[in-house]
Amino acid sequence: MAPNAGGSWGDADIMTDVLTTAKGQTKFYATAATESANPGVGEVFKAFHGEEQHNLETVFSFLHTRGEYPTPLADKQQLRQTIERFEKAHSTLGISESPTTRRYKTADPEHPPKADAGAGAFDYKADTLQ
Amino acid sequence: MQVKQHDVTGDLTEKELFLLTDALGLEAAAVKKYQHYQHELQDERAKQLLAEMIDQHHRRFDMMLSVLQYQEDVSRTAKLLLQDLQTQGGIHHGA
Repeated sequence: MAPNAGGSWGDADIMTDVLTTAKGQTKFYATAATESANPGVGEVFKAFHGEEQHNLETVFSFLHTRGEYPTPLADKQQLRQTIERFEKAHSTLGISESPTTRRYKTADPEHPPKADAGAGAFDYKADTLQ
Repeated sequence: MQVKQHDVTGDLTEKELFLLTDALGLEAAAVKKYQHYQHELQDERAKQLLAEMIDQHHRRFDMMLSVLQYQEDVSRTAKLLLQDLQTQGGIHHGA
């Protein structure tokens, strides 16, 4: 790629900015897809999100394969320290059992809510994966 | 907290108008910026990649503007426009 000369932007600088723009758009469309009430509008944003995420992968790969986005291995000592830190954090959670694989139907409370349900009393039915 | 039924009737919501306005601004800015970059780049592969992305952002801009222009049933209009674009091969990586 063309080198960066005398403070001017080279190809790597330009493509890094394109990568940053794609990151921003990917995040934007993910939120937009979630917060659209009209299903059609949501689908459009969802499609744009998928498209932009692909752009992000393409530009990352472009820079990475040219050595312009180095991905050095993690420092072993730092890795050990991180593990120790979160092992300690885990012990403060007060959980001794492994997490279950249950899934909860919390995303879509029943419409309309049950007549006898009080305010805030959603019917969260636990479901077990088969 | 009360459970409210979705009361969308095909009209654009305030939030969607806000999102579409933001998105149109982002797409227009991306087209302008990438057009400028295209002239600055030396690498031919990078230029080609940018050309494809400019087309893509341009298509998105036109499509979202169309969603705003056809106000009768925004959800149906959006779905039809998306289908059209997918049929033409304009969207390759939709979820």
